[in-house]
Amino acid sequence: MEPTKRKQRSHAIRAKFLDHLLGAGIAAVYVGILLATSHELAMNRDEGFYAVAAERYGAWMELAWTNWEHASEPNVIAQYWSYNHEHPGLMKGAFALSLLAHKHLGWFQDATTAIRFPGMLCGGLMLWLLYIFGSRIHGRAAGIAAAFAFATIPRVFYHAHLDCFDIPIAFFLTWTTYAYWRALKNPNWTFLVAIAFGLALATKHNAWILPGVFLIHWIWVVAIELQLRRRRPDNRPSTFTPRTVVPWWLIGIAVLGPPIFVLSWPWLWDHTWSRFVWYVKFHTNHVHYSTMYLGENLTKPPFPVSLPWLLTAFTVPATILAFAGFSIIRRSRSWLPKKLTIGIPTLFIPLSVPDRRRTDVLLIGTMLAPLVVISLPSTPIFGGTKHWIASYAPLALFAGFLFADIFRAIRQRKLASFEGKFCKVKYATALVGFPILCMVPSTLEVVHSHPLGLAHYGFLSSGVAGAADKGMNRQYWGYTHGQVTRWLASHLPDGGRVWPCDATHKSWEMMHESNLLPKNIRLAHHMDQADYILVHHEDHFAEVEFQAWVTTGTVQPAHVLTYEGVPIVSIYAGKSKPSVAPH
Amino acid sequence: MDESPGTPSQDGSDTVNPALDPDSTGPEPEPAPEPVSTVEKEAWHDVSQPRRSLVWFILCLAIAEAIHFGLRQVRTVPQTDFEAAAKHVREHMGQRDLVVSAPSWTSPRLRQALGDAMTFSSSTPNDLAAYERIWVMIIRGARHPYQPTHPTDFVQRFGRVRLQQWELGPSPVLFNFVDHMAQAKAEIVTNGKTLPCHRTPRSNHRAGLGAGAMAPEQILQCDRERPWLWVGSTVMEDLELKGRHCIWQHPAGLEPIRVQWNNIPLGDRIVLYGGIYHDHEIKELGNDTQIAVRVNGQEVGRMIHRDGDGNKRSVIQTRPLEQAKQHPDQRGNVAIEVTAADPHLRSFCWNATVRLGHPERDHHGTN
Repeated sequence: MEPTKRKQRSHAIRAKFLDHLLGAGIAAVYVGILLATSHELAMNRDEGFYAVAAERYGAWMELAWTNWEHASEPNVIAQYWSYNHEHPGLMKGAFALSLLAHKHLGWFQDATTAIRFPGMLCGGLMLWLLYIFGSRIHGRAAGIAAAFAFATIPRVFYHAHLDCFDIPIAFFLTWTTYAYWRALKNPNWTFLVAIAFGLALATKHNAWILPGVFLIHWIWVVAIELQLRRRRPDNRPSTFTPRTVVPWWLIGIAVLGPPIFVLSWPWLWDHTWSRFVWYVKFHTNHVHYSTMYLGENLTKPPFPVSLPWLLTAFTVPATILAFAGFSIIRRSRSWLPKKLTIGIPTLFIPLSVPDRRRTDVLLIGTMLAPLVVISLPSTPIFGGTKHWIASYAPLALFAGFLFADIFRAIRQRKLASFEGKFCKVKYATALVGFPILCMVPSTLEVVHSHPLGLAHYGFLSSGVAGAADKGMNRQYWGYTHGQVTRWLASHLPDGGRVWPCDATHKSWEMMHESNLLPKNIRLAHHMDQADYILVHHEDHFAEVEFQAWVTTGTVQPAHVLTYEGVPIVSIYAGKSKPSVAPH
Repeated sequence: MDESPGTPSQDGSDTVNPALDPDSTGPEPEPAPEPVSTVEKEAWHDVSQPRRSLVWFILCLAIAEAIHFGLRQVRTVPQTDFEAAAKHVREHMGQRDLVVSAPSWTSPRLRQALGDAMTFSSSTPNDLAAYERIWVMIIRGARHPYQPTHPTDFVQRFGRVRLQQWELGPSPVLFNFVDHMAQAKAEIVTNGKTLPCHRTPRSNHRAGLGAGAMAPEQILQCDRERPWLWVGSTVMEDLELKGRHCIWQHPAGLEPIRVQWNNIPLGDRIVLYGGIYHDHEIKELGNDTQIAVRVNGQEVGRMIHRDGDGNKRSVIQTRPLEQAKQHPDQRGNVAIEVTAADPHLRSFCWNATVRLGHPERDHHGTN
């Protein structure tokens, strides 16, 4: 190898290493923040179910470790894995392993943190991935900005704490997308596409739509490529070789995806087909959740097409949306059909040239697909941003690209010459001030959103109170009781019983386990036996508040937890307790 | 600002530097000579420089978003403001005063401050007829649907809470059935035989989402085999998820469950509101519920409640208005009978008042 080439290669390896080191650092910091802030977050409904699943699957793993023959018997597998078989086993298996690490090695401060850790890890890995993906497309500044944007979306920050599947599936979908994007140039990546897709399948059913997005993108890319070759056959070969024009990625995911899915989920080891069909039917005929949207309690399809779009606008910081939106517009000439852009001055859509892999098309496809699927009138009703949270990864990437362009222009003094007196100070101020100013809004929002992330609304909805004015969903999943534990502890110094409203028994048990709530404050199984009655303010829970009135004989809550002045949880005193201090 | 590296031609056509033409099969451009790592900029090299106006727009948006965030925190209404307004109301509150707050989501905060002076009925009014004065605690410039359009009689600010009060005029309400549930007798007709419903402590303590209306401590149980066949006052969630202080009277079938009050004022009309529990009404089972109103044994009116009606309102004349005005003290026995051809999930709950005169008040603030 020539010394120059050797030097270049060594430089490239060092750069790659540094990039991954930086990505790992970002991930580590994020996981650290998640760990530090998770304690005050009570488990939500789904977390409680997955925590039970983790305990059961963990027990099976222990059995498998000591007696594999017995553990692998179909009836034994069914005994342990039949619980919560509406979702695949990968993440719940990871929660179980983490719980076992806590149980046997004492790695975590409590079981709640242990069960949540794999979810947090996925949150950290997602930032690492976004940094690398953004850097490869448009430079380090883009990668850092993309990771920051994603991390500071308040709903993302909330979900990143949980032992749920939403951040993990967003991570696996983005990883598969990244691997597919790399595989378009280098077929050696095909194997990783297949592995990543298999893990996505094994995480959540959202993965089903990804091959469709890839296929549309691949046909787009190959059609253009073949057209170019036909037009100019004498030209040098482009990025794509005959080897790369074969859809190896599709073959890969078809061959490896299903085995990974089945192997990671012992429930499917017996009666594989019938159980798989049940799983598919469960999700295609999913129950419709109640959700409040613009003053209407939605219980039946069709859902308003605007729901995921407006909720995204209301919950993602406006600055991030602006970066992403303008970035997409700026790039649109590179992917929109020419006919659509003829006549539009470059003032509105600047010139931009697509890369051979049509990265714009891929990212727009992966960003729109989850939003479009939820918007379809035939889709079962889901009202939470978590169902399309995977869209926020490409959205963050687009935000990062525009940030990088502006930052680069400032750095190269192309937006201002910074001449005259104090030119260095002005230049330094612009260089430092621009990123800081851009980061401030989402940082403020994300800090303020914790630990009531699902109740948070931002600038475009005029905050939490503005969203309440507009009749938007206040919360869901019954998790906000974590913020009234101090009040309960101070009002039940000798212990007592609390009726938990939307909180699950498991959530209550885990609050005891993690010392978030004194153990002598137990659940009341009947409302009229409770010392205090909780009411989570979500519109379709209104009936619970009326039940509390009739039970206690008063309409006066003893305490109301508010967020930006909006009631989140009301607490009613049972008949044995004074309602409020006398006036 | 330049649009390097590609620039449109003078005639405005979409001519692009051939070196950057996406359809060119020429070599992909080399990585930019930036001090960046070799893994950078694999995909794009050609994005034109952002316009200064765009940068300013984003910066202004970021500043606006940050300021808005700060203002939201500063403008959050503390509970002490509600308590200060409640203190004023408490000092001046009359027996026929209604207190509400706007926007509607502030209701728990109002009730936390003043709930001890509020009742189930005043927390879930069907209309304003029972009240002679209304107080409204307002934040964020909201408007309550019950707020009269005529000028306010009183307004005062308590921090960020604006307290307003209006006189509504004399109330036409003579008798509220829900408030007099203790005087009522109930009976069930089974195979032509009339059997009394017995006053008993509630046996069903079920609560939570989908559990429906909570039975009060004392109910009139009509059939122990069918525990939902009881009569009693409760607060039920209607089709609009609003609470209604009402009398639970689930039909048993085509034969009625009857509840009767003896020797009560007759007024000139009974204004009846009734609905089905939210979760049952949205199922749209299509089974109508019939409500017959009898005065001294004679049927004077009937309401049919169909799915989708929600909290339905009917005005039933008991006597001509002129006759009622001549004999305002006339009393009688009023019975309400509820039937349904198919009583499955017809969790009917109603509220009614006997009224005399002032028919214009019936509509005032009807929710």
